[in-house]
Amino acid sequence: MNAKLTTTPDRRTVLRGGIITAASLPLGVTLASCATGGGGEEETTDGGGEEPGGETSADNPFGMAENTTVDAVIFDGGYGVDYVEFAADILAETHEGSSVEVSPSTQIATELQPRFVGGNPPDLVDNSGAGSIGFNAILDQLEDLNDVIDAPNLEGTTIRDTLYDGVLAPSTYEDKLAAINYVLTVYGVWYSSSLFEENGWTPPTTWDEALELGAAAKEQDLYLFGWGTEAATYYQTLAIESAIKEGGDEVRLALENLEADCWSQDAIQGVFSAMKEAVDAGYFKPGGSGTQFTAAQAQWSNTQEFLLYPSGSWIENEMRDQTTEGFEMKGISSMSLTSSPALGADALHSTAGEPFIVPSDGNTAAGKELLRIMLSKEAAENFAATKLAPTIVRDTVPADGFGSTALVSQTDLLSAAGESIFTFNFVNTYGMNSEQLPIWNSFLDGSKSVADLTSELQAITDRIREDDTIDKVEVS
Amino acid sequence: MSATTTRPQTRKVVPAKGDRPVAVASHGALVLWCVLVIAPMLWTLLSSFKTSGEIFASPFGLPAEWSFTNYANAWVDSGLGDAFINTVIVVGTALVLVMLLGSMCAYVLGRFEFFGRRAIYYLMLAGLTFPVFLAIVPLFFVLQNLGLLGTLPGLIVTYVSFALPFTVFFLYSFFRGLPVEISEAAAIDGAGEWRTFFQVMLPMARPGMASVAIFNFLGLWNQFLLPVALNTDRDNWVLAQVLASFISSAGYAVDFGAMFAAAVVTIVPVLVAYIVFQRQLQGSVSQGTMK
Amino acid sequence: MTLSGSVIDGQPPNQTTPTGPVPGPRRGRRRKWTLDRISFFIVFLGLPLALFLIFVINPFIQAGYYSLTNWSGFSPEQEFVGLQNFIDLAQDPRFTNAVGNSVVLGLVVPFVTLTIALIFAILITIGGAGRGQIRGVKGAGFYRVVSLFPYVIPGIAIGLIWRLILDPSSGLVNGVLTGLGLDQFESFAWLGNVTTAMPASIFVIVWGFVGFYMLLFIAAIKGIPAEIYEAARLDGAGRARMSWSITLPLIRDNVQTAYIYIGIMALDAYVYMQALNPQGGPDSSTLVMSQQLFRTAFAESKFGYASAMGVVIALVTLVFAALVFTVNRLAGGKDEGGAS
Repeated sequence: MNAKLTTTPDRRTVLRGGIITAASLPLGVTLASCATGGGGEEETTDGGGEEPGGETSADNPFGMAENTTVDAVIFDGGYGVDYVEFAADILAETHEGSSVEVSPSTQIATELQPRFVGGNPPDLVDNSGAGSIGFNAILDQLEDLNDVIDAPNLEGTTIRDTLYDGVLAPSTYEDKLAAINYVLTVYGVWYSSSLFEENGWTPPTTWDEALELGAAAKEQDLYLFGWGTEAATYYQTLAIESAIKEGGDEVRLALENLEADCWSQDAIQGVFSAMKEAVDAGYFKPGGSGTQFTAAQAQWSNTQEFLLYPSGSWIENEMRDQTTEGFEMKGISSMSLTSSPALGADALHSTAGEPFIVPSDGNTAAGKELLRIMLSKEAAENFAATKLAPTIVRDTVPADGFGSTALVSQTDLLSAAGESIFTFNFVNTYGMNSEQLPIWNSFLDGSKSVADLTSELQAITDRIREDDTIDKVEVS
Repeated sequence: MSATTTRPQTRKVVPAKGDRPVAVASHGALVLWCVLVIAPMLWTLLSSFKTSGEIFASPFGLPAEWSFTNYANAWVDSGLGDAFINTVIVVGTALVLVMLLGSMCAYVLGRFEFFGRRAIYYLMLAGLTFPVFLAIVPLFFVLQNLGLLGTLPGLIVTYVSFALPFTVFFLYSFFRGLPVEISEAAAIDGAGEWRTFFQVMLPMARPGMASVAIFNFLGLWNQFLLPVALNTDRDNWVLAQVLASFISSAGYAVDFGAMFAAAVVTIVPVLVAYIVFQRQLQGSVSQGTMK
Repeated sequence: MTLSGSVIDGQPPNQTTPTGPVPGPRRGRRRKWTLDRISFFIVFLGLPLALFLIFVINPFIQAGYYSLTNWSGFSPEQEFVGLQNFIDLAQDPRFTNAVGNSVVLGLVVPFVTLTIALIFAILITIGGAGRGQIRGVKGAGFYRVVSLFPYVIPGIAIGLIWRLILDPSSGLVNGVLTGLGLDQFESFAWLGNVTTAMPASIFVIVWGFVGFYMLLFIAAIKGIPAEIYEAARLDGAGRARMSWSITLPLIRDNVQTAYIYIGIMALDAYVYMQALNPQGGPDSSTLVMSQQLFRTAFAESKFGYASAMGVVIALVTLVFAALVFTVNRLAGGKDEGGAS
């Protein structure tokens, strides 16, 4: 693992953006995204895509002209830009005379806004990071990437057939595939497989099993769960995952569409009650509401004072330096309420991030060609191997996960889930997290009942629903 | 102001009855306070040498090995080194500029009568009391329109502008207090306004300048909101932003030892500056209050 | 926080109460407008003033305008909504809660800080053993230097350090308390408990500022002519009596200035509150106005509404300053020069 990864801002920040960013300090970056305001208003009238075209062929499905210099601006976050340079080298080989200029950027919006407005955007952009461009601002200026997905990869297989299910949905706007999210994040509950083996424990699949495990842990003066004050809502994510698995899509849709009484749905109430049981039984390590979340996470990964931690797959990278030797991190899909949940026991919360876009006013053939190469097996495997994270391309992680048990379990979870992959966005979409945090802190430290929790979460949902100044996103 | 330093304190005094308990109580309270001040700082220093494991194990344990690994990690991996250099550049430049511009402005306001002088003075005074929060968002766009957003010059110019009212406000009264004969003598000698200021008035204002410079240095070094909101490019981060990133640390691999080390690195320069200049600082405070 | 720390960091400029331009030295004869003089005015007055207007006054004016619109910060459109934002604010329980917390800070922090600072200042200056000559305790210089340490530490570092010190499991405070046998403090979340979060935050801010105000008061007390104390002592006044009826009245204007500056700082307190409890504390009990403003502007992208909050903060600050002035005046102080 390169040292850089541990030090540069992790791209995955954004995936959990709502969970942390809203409550934390890097406000400047959030500001930067505001700066795009109006970027989309400047309608560029000259139709895009009229660059000197080359012949289309099986090797060159988009007809990229010879001797092209592809202009790619890539978000320089936790994954760096070298994986794009890797693909760029392939492009230079397969298209003699052409080359790629990869420009790293940490403030995509601020840097590219003038170029979008001026009609000379780059050919390919990784629109990531907290300073990324809001999609609604530039949607009209982006290419539909469905033809990339329908093109063959370098190995000759149609790219669409090589991808995990459902990874394209979040960036599809009315049939237009505006972006391709390149990297997968898996949400679940993480644990030390070595510790579990030692004690003969098995990771719980239902909340009942989790409570049993909590009792077993308590005998050894260990806790089942722990939390940090800024990350208390990780347990909300867990609860929602459990509830969606249990109750199916209608649970998800009610939450996403801010319906009245959506937090009172049976599945959600069932999970809340199970959590409350764990809280009351003392299965949560006390003091979480006054503990910095990274410190709390270290109590799990380093001093191993509690067993399970709900999070996204970034947790392995985030805690790498704070994880005790031989921890053997693994993940499971969030516990369901019963043993036969509506979506199936293997249903998984996963979503793709790192959206790559091809602006219409750039050299679209060139941008698409580079993207096609990135989605080919060779480049995707390189990404998984160097970044220890799966891309949306299936089967790129070998059985040993490059030595990372967490990576192996991510791919296992993904293949077990098959088509039962879901995600939800309402917390981030409406910036609810900061308001939900104190509620969850109080719930987890035992000072709020399930009824309090429900009514206070519902109040936030209701207020946003009733606020006409907030644009609503209809989810179906 | 001289009263502070010249009060006779040499006479030997025989303690009177009833004085001792008071003295003991005084010392008790003050010692307790000093412990309260120093203990957290020492603890921070101690923790900066511990590994994360040791930090979590016990708040009191000594590090098994006194190494500077945490410092190296903070310095390089967390970008503390770059931020340190940026901070020195930004604070240094801004300090020189604000002292120059501030003294110039204070001199004109303080020693020349012209239309609008009062209005400008009160406007500066008002600038002292507005909450910066109110200005942050428009300021963001002002800088963006000037192409200065996220750049060090942009940060410097903002620092200078926001430190200006305080500087002018303080130096104003200082320049007013300088005897009028001197500038007139300079004028008779044929010195122009520029020369009068730089060769006569500015040197005379040195004591006042020194105090303001110290306060400005502390204020700018400790600046938080402006860089966090306006200095978005990670390469240009200043120390406060690195520290802030340890707290929010969304997405960074966490390193608690390095966090303590970063705090120490941020504190030490100001602390050293304070200890070196503490006489001057205390002098300037008395000066202000004795006026 | 800015103004190079002067106001919001609670750093009073080195002057007593700002009472406006003092009468300046009389100007002699009128001079001719030479090139030297014109260029001098342009550079000496024009340059600083231009910076000040562009980067300080201009944003404030803009913010004032935005507070009357429904601008989101993202879209180019903004509608003029008049005072609607302010009407909404009055009915926004999140904001009124934050205002309440800020007002608590604005009242408690100055009072506690200045009381402690004053006591220490008195101890250091006239608390020493001795008869005849009034003097401070031995080692006064040491106490003075050490006391100011916290003041030079950046606010963000203070917050970060104290957050770790107050950590329930591995922090210094609980370590000491459990070490003393107080086992109920094992894993006690000082910052995560509704009853302790605010007091703990106040403690941290007070810790950071006592030293500076102590220094300020020491200087003021030393400015009181020694003869006054001598006379009082001959009349048989004890130390407490002297402090109460001589020291306090004579430095009341210093106290007033200090009160205003630390009050303004406490009404903001963003750095400290954000470092100690970024999410606003248990049940939002430590959420202050500035945090709510940031949240509204950048997480919820309601810039017009957030600007209205800024205007309210400015008003609260002004009201606070006016209140301190009034109280001091009612209590018999004069606007200028009690100590001089």
